[in-house]
Amino acid sequence: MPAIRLADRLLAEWVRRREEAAGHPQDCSEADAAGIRAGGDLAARIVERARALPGSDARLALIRRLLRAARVLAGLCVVVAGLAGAAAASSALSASTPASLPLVLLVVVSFNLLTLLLWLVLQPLSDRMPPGLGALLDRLSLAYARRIAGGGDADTASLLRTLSDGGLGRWYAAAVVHAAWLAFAVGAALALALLLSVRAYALSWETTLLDDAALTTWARVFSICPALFGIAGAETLPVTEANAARQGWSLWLLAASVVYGVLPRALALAASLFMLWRSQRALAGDLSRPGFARLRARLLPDHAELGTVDPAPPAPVPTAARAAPPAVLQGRVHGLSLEGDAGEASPVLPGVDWVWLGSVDDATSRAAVLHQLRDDTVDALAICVRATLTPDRGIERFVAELASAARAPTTLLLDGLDRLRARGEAAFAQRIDDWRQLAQRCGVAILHA
Amino acid sequence: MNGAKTIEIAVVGHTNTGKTSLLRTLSRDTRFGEVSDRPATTRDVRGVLLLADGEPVVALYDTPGLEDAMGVSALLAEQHADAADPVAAVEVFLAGDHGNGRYEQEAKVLRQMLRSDAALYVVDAREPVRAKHREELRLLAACGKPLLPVLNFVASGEADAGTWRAQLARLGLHVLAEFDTVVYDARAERSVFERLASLLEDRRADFERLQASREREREALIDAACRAVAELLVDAAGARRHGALDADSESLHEQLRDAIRGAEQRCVDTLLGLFRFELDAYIPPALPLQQGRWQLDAFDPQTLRHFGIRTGSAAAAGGAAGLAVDAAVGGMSLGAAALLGAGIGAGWSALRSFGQPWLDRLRGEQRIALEEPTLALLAARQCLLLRALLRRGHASQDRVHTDTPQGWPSEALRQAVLRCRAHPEWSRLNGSADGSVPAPVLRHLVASVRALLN
Repeated sequence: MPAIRLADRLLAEWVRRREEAAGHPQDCSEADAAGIRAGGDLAARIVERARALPGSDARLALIRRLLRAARVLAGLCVVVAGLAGAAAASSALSASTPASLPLVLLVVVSFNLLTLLLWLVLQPLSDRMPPGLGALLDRLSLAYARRIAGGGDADTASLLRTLSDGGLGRWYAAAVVHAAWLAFAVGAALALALLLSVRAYALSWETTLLDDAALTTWARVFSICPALFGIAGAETLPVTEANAARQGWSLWLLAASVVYGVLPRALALAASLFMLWRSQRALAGDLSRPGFARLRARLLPDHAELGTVDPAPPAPVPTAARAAPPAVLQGRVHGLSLEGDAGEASPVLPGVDWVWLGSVDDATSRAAVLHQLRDDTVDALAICVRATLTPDRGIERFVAELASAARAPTTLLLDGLDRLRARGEAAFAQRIDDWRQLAQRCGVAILHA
Repeated sequence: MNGAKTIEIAVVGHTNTGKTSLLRTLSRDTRFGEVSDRPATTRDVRGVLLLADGEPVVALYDTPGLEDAMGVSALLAEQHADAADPVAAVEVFLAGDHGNGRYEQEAKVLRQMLRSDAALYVVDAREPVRAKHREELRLLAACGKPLLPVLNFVASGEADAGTWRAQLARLGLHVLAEFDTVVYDARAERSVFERLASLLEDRRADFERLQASREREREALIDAACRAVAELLVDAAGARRHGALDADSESLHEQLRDAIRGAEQRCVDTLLGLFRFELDAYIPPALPLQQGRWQLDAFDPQTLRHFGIRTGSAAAAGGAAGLAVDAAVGGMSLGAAALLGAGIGAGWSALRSFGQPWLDRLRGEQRIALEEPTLALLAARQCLLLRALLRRGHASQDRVHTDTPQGWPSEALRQAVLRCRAHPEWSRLNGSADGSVPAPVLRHLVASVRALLN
C-alpha cells in the first residue's frame, strides 16, 4: 500500500477535530462509500473518506499552501544562514593579521555549539518552559500561517492547531533551526576551505589575556576531537609559533569547524527529522481516538445485510371476529390445562364442578382429549393456559378444534398473570390483547383474573 | 475467504423466542428486522453476512417462527410416509402446497434449513420444555443438518437452563450454547461460534478467523470508549469560565454548566455511537452541578499538593519550605513566598498555578471551575454507562438504566482526574486552549477507566 501523503493525513486529523467538536461524524454516504471502495486498513479508509467529504478540495489546497509556505520558510532560513556562515568565516579570517585561530573558532563554532547545548538541555524541560523565544516564534509563525490561511475562523484555527499539535510544530521548528545552523556551519567551512586554498594567511594562537601555558592547554583541549579523525593538532604542531606550521593549522581549523560545527548539527537535524517523520506518521494513525474509532462501523463494517431471500407470503385474511360469547363457568365444566405441567390439578373456582381432563401437551394426549370431548356430553369447557405462552397458530388451531369438539360454550382461562406482569406493563397489555384476539377468532370466551 | 464459500447458518425456532434478536446482537445492528414480544413478527427469510476484516465468512438467515410443527408432522406422516428417508419426505412436502398454504411459514423454515450448512435452534429458556418443542426438533432433524440449540434469555430469573439441557440431551442434543440476546456476554458469543465450529469441523479455521476479528474490534472499541471518557474528564477538570469581578456570577456558572452538559452529552453520543446503539437510548439527567467555585477562595489541598510536587521536581526544596509557611498563613502569601523560597524556576511554576487568580483579581476578573463532587459524578456516571453498554445486547429495547453513582468509581481515577484540574490548557472547553493532553497523562487516565470495567 502506498504511504499516505502528509497533506491527506493532516486533512483527516482536521476532519476528526471538527467532528469531535460537533459530537458526531458528518453524514455523507458518498464519502463513506469512497472510504469503503479504497479498501485497505481502517486508517487508509479514514483518509480516503476525509478526502471525499464535501469541501475537502479547498481544505486540501489550503493545507498544501501552508506546507509549501513552511518549506519556503525553511529554505529561506537555510540560504540566509549559509550566506551568514560564509560571511562570518571570511570576516573572522580577515579581521586581523595574522589571523587569530581562537577568533575564527569562536565565530564559526562557539555560538553554534552553545545554542545546540542549550537546546539539548531544555528538551526534557520543554513542557514547563516559561514562554520565551520559542513561544514568541511559535506565535509569530502561527500569525504568519493565519495570514496565509487567510482567515481567523474556528475552522482555520482548528487546522492551525492540528499543524502545531502532536509534536509536529515542535519538531518542524527544531528541524528548521538545526538546518539553518547546519547551513551556517557548512557555509563557514566552505568559505574557510576556499579562502585558505586561494589566499595566504598568517595564523596565530595569540591572545591578550592568556599566557602561553594556558593557551597551549586550550589548544590541546580543542585538538582532542579533530585528533579522533587523525588530524594533527596542538600535540604535534607548535602553538606559540603557529605561523611556522600554518599549513598544518589551516587543515586543523577546517577539521575543527567540521567536527564542532557541522557534525553535531547534522546529528541533531537527523534526530529532529526522524521525530518529525514519526509525528507525521502518527497523524491519522491513532485509531483509539474516539473520532476515528466511531468511523469503524461505517468504513470497515463487520456485517452486511443480504436482504430478503424468501419473501413473506401475503398477509393472512383476518378471520371475521365472532361476537365473544359470555364465559360459562358454573356447574359441570369440562376442564383441561393446555401445555401445562403433567398432573396439574384443576383451578379452584367457586361454583364449578370440574370434569378435569388433565394436562394436554403432545399429539397423543391431544387426540385423546378431542375424542373424549366428542363422546361426552359437555355443558361447558374451560381451557387453562399460561398467559406467558405465545399465542401462536398451533395453539389457535387446537383451541378451535377443542371448541368444535365440545359443542358447548368454551372459555379460555389465562393464569400465571403475575409472571407476565413482571415483564412490564406494555408487554402485559400486548400479550393479553393477543390472547383476546385469538379467543375472538376461535369464537371462545376469555377470562383472566 | 480462503477460496471457500460463506458458511450458511439458518436461525430457526419456535415463534417469539428471539431469532431476530439473536441476529441483531450478533451483527451489532439494532435495526435488523423487526422485534416484538408477539408471535409471527418475522414472516420472511432475511440474511445478514458477518465479515472478518471486510470479508464475508458467515451468512445468518433469520426465519419465521415455527408455530405448528405438530400440524406439519401430522401432514408428513399422513401424506409422505412412503418417502425414502426423512429428508426426502421434507423435500416432497416443500414441493407440494404446504397443506393448502396453512404451513407456509414452516415451509420457509424447512426450505432454509435444506439450503444451509447448519442451524441455530433458538429457545426461550423461560418457557418450559413442551411436546411442541420436541416435535420441532424432530422436524428439523429430518432436514439432516447439524443443529445447535441456543438458550436465549438465560440471564432472566425465570430461565431454567438446567431443565432445557436435560431435555435436549434426551433428544440427542448434547452440544448447546447459552446466549442472552438482551444481556450481552462476549464469552457466550464466543462459545456460540466455538460450538458451531465443532459441528462444522472443516470450517473451524473460518470461525476462528471471524472470532479473532470480532474480538480485536471489540477491544479497539473499548479502548476508544475509555479514551472518550478520559478526555471528557480532562476537559471537565480543566474547564474555566471567567468574567468581570462585578459581573453576574450566576450567568458564569450557567455558562460553565452548559459547557459541561454539552461535553457530557457528546461523550454519551460517542459511547453509544461506538457500540452502535440508537442515540436516544440514554439521556443523562441534568447535572446536579454544584456552585462553580472561586479559585481564590481557600486553596484546594489537591491543587496545593499538585503545586508542591511540581516545584519539588522543577527546582528546589526551598519551594516546599515556602509552601509550608504559606499553608500556615492560610495561603495568602503563597505566590510571593514560593517565589522567594524556590527561585525563578519554581517561581514560574507558582506563577502559572497560582499567579493567575491573583492576576485575575488585579485585573478585576473572576474565574470559576468545577467542584470535585461534580467531577466525581461525571466520572462515575460515564463509567456506569460504559459498563452497562458492554453488557447490552443489540436486541435490547429498553433504555439504558444506570444506578445512581456513589462518589468516585476508584481512588486511582480520582487522583488522575484531580491532577488535570490545574491544567486548563489541556481542556477543550476553554475556547482558545488547544486541549492537547500529554500522552502519558492520558494513558494513565484511560488505564484507570479501563481498570473499572473488569
